[in-house]
Amino acid sequence: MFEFLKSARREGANKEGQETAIKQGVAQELKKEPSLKKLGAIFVALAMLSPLFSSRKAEGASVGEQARNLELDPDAQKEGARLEKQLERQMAEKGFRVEISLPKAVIVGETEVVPDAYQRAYQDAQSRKESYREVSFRTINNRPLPLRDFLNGLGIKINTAIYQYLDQDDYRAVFCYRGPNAIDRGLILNLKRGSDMEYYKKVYYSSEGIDPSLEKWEPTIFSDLKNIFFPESILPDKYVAQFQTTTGLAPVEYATRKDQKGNNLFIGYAAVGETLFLANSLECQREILKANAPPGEP
Amino acid sequence: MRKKGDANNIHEINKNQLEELSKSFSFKLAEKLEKGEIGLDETQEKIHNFLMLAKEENIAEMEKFMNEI
Repeated sequence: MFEFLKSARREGANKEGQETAIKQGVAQELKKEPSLKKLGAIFVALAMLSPLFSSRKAEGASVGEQARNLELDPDAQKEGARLEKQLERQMAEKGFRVEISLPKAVIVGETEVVPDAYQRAYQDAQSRKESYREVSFRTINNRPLPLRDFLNGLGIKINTAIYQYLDQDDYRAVFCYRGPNAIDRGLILNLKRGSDMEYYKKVYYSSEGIDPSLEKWEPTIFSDLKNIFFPESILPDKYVAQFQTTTGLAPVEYATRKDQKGNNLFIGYAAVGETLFLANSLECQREILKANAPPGEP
Repeated sequence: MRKKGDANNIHEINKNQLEELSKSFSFKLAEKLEKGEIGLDETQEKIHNFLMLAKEENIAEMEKFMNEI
């Protein structure tokens, strides 16, 4: 991961400090083993960070910014997504991007309930034996299944302090195949895009922001996600989990515990940029972070 | 008459030129950014324009673009 992606979050609420940190980081990356691929990766990373520093209007802005700005208008969301896809395609054709992980979609039928659709996605991952698979859920009208319906359907919960920041349309389930009877699972939750600095300040730097809220979620995270991560286990509502931090592509906060049968359970989470990654094994967590690392990253 | 493999060689030459240009472009851009002569918006836009020219393998325009930064 580019160091400047991390510094963008670390440099406090001071906009100037943030921009300086990003500028220094980008300049360093530009000089370190420069190539077309590296330029492409830096461009995408800047597009990701553009809400933090860009003061431009959509007109005349670059493709990445246009995609972001267009997404602020619900009617233009499709166009924004189209532009981003086009950019990805162009980069893929010229080899600017190493890996593009596009999710497979599962359609939730008229008479089908969400758990059946999730189970179908699970069985599909099992039969394909793919070590990593991202799945999005759509309705029969080909609209994204809202996150609230996905959560309610599966009987899982997300701490309300975090839920308020989540995009209803942009989330994915993850399956990591490890053997016929071992498929680890994960979730990728994207944050809503904000329209001004105030939103991002709140998300990243306030006491109600994403990091403090994640800590507040820790006592109930095992039971809240039980139905998809540990469906066979019986767990109390609250648990004093000792979360630890690991290093790697991004720091992962994780905790382990045992269920009523003595089985070891694991939950890990990592907040990177505008995305929250969760998994029920460290291996799957690493796969998720690898698949979603900015282009050009190992 | 073209020998077999000429097309590939030309492609390889272009690719090498593109990579060489991207190195020079990256260093020049980094210098401008460090000196505060351009901001992040402008950096992003210049990378975008450079990549679009690279996609077209328009080496002459890429050189011109780089010299004008």
